[in-house]
Amino acid sequence: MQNVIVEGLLLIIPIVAFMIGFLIVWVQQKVKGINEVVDAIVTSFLDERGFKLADLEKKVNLPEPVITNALNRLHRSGLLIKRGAWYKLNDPLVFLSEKDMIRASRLTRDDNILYAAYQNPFLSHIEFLLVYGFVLGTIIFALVIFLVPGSKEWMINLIQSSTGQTPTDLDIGALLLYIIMVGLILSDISDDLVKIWGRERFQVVIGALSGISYDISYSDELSGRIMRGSIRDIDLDITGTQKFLNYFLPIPVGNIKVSSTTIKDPSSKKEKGKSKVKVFKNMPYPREMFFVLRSLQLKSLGWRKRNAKTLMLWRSRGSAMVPA
Amino acid sequence: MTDIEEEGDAILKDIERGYRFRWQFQLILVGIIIGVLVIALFELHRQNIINIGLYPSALIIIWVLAFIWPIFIKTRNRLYSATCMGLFFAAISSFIVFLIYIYFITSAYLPSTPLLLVAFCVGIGAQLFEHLNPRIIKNNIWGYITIGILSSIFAVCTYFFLYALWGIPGIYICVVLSALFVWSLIPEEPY
Repeated sequence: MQNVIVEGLLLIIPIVAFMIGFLIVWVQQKVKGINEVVDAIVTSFLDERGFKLADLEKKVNLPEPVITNALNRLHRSGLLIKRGAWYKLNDPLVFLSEKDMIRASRLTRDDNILYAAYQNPFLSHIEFLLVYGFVLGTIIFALVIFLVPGSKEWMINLIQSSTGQTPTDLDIGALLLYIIMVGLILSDISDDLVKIWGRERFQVVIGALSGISYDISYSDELSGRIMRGSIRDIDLDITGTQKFLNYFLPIPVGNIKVSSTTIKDPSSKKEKGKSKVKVFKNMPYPREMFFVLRSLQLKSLGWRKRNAKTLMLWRSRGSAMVPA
Repeated sequence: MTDIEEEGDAILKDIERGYRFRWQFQLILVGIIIGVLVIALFELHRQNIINIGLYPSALIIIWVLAFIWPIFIKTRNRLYSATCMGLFFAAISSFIVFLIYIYFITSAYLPSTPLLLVAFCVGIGAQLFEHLNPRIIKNNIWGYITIGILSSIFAVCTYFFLYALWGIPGIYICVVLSALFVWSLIPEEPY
């Protein structure tokens, strides 16, 4: 009974800790002026190559520190690239790292990039779940030691032979917890490696003029091309597995099928070649990619201007961060 | 309304919601999992299969909740972020309190045990923090200082434990494990 009371009293500590942690974030001051700054950027600099703080100050009726704070927040969210005194706008649907974004800009001849992301070709490969084998294996090992008769004695003998002392349950527990943590680290790193391997050279970049550029192999430099004029049909295909995974994955994914017609003879544009279908697998935010492609096909980017503010505010909240 | 206007409205309406459960259902799912866990722990205790005790049961519930919260809850707002930080504090403090409690009721232990437990707390704490608040530690000077401090604590604990166990080969393993630890903490680039 006394134990229950002590344990009950101990429960107060995590409750208090929860409240402290909750309040630390809750009372954090919101970044002021985000709305106004985003509004000014969308209205005045959406299609500009860049802008300076002084340019923005002319458009926004806010003190300089407030504007700077808002710009820093947008920079941290990946919406702005800062080069000295210049800010360059990243489209909200660009999910490339800064380094890859620069590469994509170079390879598309500084085109206005409307959507860019990495395919995730290994997402549906169930064998890659084996990376979690490290942590699962260590957990099973720990359970076996404590639950299977004789296993604990084996562990005690092992520790005794190494240290010359008889371990208690706490000693064994501590060692097993340490082993589980090492398993967790190995799984985390293996998972990173698989993702890095998958994303390394599987970029898809959609430019306003260049159309779709994509990598076709690991050592590629966006050599896959679908010109915007040759896009015949676009299809958004979210499979049952993807739909299920999207409820839980940090970033929703889906497949995009693009049918295009290749021009057989460049000198005679009337003579069309075979149509080909390219499937971009596990693209982040596939519906948004579909909208971008559809507007590109219809040769009108009006929707982008209308929705730029919403997309920017959504991205500045950090909703669209895709962890590698 | 043209095709383009329709597309624009669709984006305005729901960028994220199109892929996710409604927030009420997300909360219900979390509630169901925690409810099942509470019942399972209660039944294990009632039928004398495993008598875990009140505090360890609470510890399990807090850790399971901290693990499943970002997986099931996809509504990103201030309340979500505050709850994530609260869960992290609750999970870590409950575990530290549990260890101190176990120390009080355990009369003897090996000298390496506190080191292993500190290394475990640092490691699991860092992983849980990254799981709950993936955007807080960044690739900047403060991020690297934080990673440096945590990795140093981990490396020192691991060194004393492994050196006492295996001597020089223990140092090699310590270096490898510490390097892996640093790598696992470096924030992953967004893409």
